[in-house]
Amino acid sequence: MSLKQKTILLLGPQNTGKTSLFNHLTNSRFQTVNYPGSTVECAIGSLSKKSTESPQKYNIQVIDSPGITSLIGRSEDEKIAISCLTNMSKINKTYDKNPNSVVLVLDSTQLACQLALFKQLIHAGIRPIVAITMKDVLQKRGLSINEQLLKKELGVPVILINNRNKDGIDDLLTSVSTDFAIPSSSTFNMPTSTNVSQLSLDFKWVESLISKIGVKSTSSEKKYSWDLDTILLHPILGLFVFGGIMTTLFWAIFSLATPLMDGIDSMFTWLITLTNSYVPEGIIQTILSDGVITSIGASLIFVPQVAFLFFLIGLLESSGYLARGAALVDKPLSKIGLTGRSFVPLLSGNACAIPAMTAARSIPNKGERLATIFIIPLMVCSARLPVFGLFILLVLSDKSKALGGLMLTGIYLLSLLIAAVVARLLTKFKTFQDKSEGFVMALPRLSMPIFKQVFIQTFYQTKKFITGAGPTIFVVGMGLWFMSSFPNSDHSFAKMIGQWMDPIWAPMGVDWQVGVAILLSFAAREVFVSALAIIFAVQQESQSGIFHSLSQAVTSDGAPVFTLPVVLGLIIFFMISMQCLPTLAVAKKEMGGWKLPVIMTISYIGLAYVLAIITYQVSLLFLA
Amino acid sequence: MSNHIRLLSDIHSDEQVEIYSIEGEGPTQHRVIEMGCTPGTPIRLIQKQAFGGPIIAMIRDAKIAIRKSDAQLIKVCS
Ligand SMILES: Nc1nc2c(ncn2[C@@H]2O[C@H](COP(=O)(O)OP(=O)(O)OP(=O)(O)O)[C@@H](O)[C@H]2O)c(=O)[nH]1
Ligand SMILES: [Mg+2]
Repeated sequence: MSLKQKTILLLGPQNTGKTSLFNHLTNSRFQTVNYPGSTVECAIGSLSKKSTESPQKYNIQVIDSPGITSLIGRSEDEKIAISCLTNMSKINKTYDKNPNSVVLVLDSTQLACQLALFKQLIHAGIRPIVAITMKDVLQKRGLSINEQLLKKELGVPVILINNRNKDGIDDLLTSVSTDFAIPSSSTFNMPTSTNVSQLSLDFKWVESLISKIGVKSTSSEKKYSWDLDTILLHPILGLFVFGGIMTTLFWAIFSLATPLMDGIDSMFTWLITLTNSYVPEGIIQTILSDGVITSIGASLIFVPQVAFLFFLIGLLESSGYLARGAALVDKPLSKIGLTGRSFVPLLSGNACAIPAMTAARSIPNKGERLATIFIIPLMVCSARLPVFGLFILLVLSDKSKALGGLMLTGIYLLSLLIAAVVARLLTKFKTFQDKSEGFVMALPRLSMPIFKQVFIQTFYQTKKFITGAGPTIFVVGMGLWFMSSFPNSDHSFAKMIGQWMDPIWAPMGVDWQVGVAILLSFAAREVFVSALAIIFAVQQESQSGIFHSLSQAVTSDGAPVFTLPVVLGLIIFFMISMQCLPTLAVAKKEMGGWKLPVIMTISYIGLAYVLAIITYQVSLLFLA
Repeated sequence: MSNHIRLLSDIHSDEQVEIYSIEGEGPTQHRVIEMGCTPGTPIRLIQKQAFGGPIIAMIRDAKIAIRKSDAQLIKVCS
């Protein structure tokens, strides 16, 4: 017997704990971030079974939605949330048109602003269940809410919740699994524009309600005014702290990861030696050591860097600092036609462009959103990190490794500069010019990062990084091993292709091996590292570690392959070139068509090529 | 009481004032009002950013950042 389907929509202002609540209700593990606008897509989950004691009469689906400021959706993410309210059947045809129940999730410490949304729902003919989160924070401040009175005043169920220890979740479950207040045929009376005088009345109503139920407004008291923000948002100190945090972030990725990377490198070198001594000489041995182990090793070496990147960004997300960062960079971003709203999508572009482009939905201005998406592919994403990591190791001798962190920071800064120039150019085009809304943003409460959560999140993101490109790297690697070993390693297919393409790569000063690796990196950027490792492993006799063998690589006439001018040119190439098909697909979805993504791809590849040649030729003049 | 009307962008750090009016109509104005900046609401300026960056203010228990040019849309009185 199939149960009748019922839907519950979690709705509310930004950063109130909707996703945390959703995770508890459905036993899911969606990412919660201490930043307004972290959810930009609806998530659906079944209400967990253990939740209700009595046998369930319905098959209950819970829907998490992006945060909203009012019932008028202006940014893309707000529009998605509002469309859940009025057109649930768009998500899934089997659902009723409207959600069967709405849970309005409010932050107990912000009721003075947020209760107005309750009133707006009532005006629209929606009677929500009210879930009030952050009970723990309220208690810590020595404040309390008269729950009974609030219930009476609002005329709907009210449940106080602490998402940190699940206090109140059971009460909410009982409420939601019995109460389907909204008849499936009802039509909501949604507002079409902001009614200023009505809003003023609503806020007056909230003020009188607040004074009745007990939470005291603290804005007139000085009690909580001193906090870390005095430093973090200080006109001068704040900028230093911001600069410090960002530099430490990029420096730490390299420096902290280096010992682990060396460890992985030696482990794979040892594996190769082991293979060579136990497996009898012949094709099986070379396929294992030069092909399989080398390609897996080369792609795993840089995983520590990527994991540190995910971890450090996770710490920032959890702390609430990102919104401060957004406020601090609003002014500089205004010079290139963006606002502080673009900061978080751009920063997360340093992990991966795909979620970053989706995150841009929280930017209200369409032109600004498109411009942000356009420059996101220029950020140093986690797939570029291994490539740059390799280049840095190639130009640094062992004793100057400390400089690596500095160089990586420089690479990040240069990428930002290029992105800024591109954004600035985009302001010349009409598509990117819409600036109707300025920059107004609520700053979430700062909190101690939840380490356990950040660790778990880092683990899953890193796993996805490995498994995501892993198969591509492996397949391409095996193909490449074959191509560079046959007919024989001195006159291989790979060499023929490489030399045939030589006119393309010669102006960049790269040898045919590197040219082949660049070509293959269009399958996925990370392929570049393992491709190089394989090509040179096939050609060389020694087993001295992947970095070492690459830094010793020589061309057919004995000159070193990776000279400083060559590496500088390659860095520029990989900094700009667009080499990620999934990113292109997401860009098409978020930009609403193929035109902009295609322009973006072609111009980045072209620009990468031209600038790489210029960089190589110019540095040849100065460095050689 | 509303003898001295100024712009939110012009008041000093740590000064407590009251919102007098929001100038004009547009998405920025609507967003600000929806966040609780309705006439008569007390608002306190916490910090101003250097080089004409955003203003940090406290309104109805919420801390908000608002670009200076947008703060000029908000008239306040002491
Ligand atoms: N102390 C405390 N923190 C909470 C509680 N609920 C949520 N948080 C924290 O508040 C932040 C926001 O939580 P989310 O669940 O991501 O909020 P959201 O409503 O989904 O936010 P958006 O998707 O941005 O609209 C996170 O850092 C949570 O850890 C709570 O009850 N107590
Ligand atoms: Mg969320």
